[in-house]
Amino acid sequence: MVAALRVLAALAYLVLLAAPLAVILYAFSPTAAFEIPPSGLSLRWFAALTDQPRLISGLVTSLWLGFGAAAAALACGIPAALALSRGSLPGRNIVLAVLLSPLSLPGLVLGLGILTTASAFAAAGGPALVGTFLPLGAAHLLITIPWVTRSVAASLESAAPELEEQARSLGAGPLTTLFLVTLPTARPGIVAGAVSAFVISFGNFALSLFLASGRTVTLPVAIFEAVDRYQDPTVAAISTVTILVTAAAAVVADRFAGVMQLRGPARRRERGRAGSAP
Amino acid sequence: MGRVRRGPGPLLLLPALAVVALVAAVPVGLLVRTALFAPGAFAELSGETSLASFAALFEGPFPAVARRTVRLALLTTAATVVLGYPVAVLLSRARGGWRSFQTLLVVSPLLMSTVVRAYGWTLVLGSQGVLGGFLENLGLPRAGLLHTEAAVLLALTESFLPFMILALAASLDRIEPAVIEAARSLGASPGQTFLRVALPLSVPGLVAGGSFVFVGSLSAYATPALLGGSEVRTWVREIQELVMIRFDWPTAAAASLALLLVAALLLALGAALSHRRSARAFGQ
Repeated sequence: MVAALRVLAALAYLVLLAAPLAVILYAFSPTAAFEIPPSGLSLRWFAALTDQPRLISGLVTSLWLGFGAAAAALACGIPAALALSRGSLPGRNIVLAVLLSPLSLPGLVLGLGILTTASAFAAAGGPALVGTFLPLGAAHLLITIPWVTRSVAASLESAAPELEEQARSLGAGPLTTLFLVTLPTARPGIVAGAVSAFVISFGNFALSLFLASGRTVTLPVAIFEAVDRYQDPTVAAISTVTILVTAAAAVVADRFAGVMQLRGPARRRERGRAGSAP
Repeated sequence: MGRVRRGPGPLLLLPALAVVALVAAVPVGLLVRTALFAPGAFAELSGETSLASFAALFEGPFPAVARRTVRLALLTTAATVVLGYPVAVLLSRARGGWRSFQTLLVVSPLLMSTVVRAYGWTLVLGSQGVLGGFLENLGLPRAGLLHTEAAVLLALTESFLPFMILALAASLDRIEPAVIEAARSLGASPGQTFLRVALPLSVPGLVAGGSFVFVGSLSAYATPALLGGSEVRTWVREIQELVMIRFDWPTAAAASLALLLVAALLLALGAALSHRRSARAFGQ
């Protein structure tokens, strides 16, 4: 049975890694053809990206959007996580479900709704918002808040609340306790939440499709439109650049929080329970 | 226990809840209003309200497209279970560096945009791609799999497999090793232990992963568009065309709300199923 498991697992890994590997391999191809095995290695398609203003502008837009969404998601998500994990909150589970609900809304449907809202706003005499960064940024903020809230709340719940009580009983005020005790203990969750928020925003496509136009075209939308236009590795090269950007974000997460912290709380609970078993 | 610690206050929830209200609840509400106007190309969003745009969903190609989308989503969910369960079992048994390495392999595709991964599949499955070359080496004609439902299914399976593996591994991790040892020491074979103990206890993970994969593949846009071409039309691609090409916003809004309804029904079904099964597994 274990052998059968291994065969299926190997097949699963093949399915998981085939497409990313094909993109990376093609990006370094010396010719426009996709050759297996490659006839050599070349960086010419990366150099040629400087002549692709639409892709470069998409990259810049997506980077700023990702940073902005992550920062704003921290500003909304950390307070929400504090409210959820400290003290008693009436209807806690309902609040949590509401906060996480944007994750189960289809991105394209949400995008259409936000576009409808922006045009209704303009029709009612408000400023023209369609095609600006406001609806796009708000949409990205909406789907990144759940990641920050969940990850920070998990970190807060696995930290010992006694530390905060001790700080208070030793005379620290509520704000001092918050900034010197609570937030530092939640740092792994904050870093992991910020990096997930960036990665989610940077790679999002369906939500941006209706909201991106002109200056606000994000990189995934630009890549989608470019796939049919290029019969050479241009798209593979810019895709590889996006892989490098998110890999850098993952390294940052690992450096400051330990990437396995993403699975931290579950493991800790398991150990805790095993320890308390008779 | 007796002392209830005063929380920092529900005020802290205000920013996050305001975003959900303004950017999710209001837009969905406005979609409902849009859907009530008379449908048609270049429809005016004014005048009499009716349910005609919902009736329009039952005509033309839409019912067939909806059925295909639901079928693809169900098949994707099944495929992620079949491929994901073995990986999750091996992952939950692994320890130390080997476990970290496997986790990294499973998570790494999530760092890439779905557009990039779908593009990768067009390279693998296209007639110029790896598969085409493989067929040629076998002496078969160089043919691509692009623009077929099979191609869409394969790419959707890949894009949601990591979520299924993580959900299953999390629920397998929560099973007490002592429970498995007890079953084995009471004479159950490894197969029986799996079917009667581990599998029922992993139902919450199956339901959580399954709901996420089903709703996600139901609403995937980039993957069906890049791999299905014009041949494999899906629900959200129909919505996109109604908005961008036919300018029929009322029908697009009605199709969007119908999609939300199907997703919500399935999530509710999953939650009910998970509750019942886990209650039974613990003999309550």
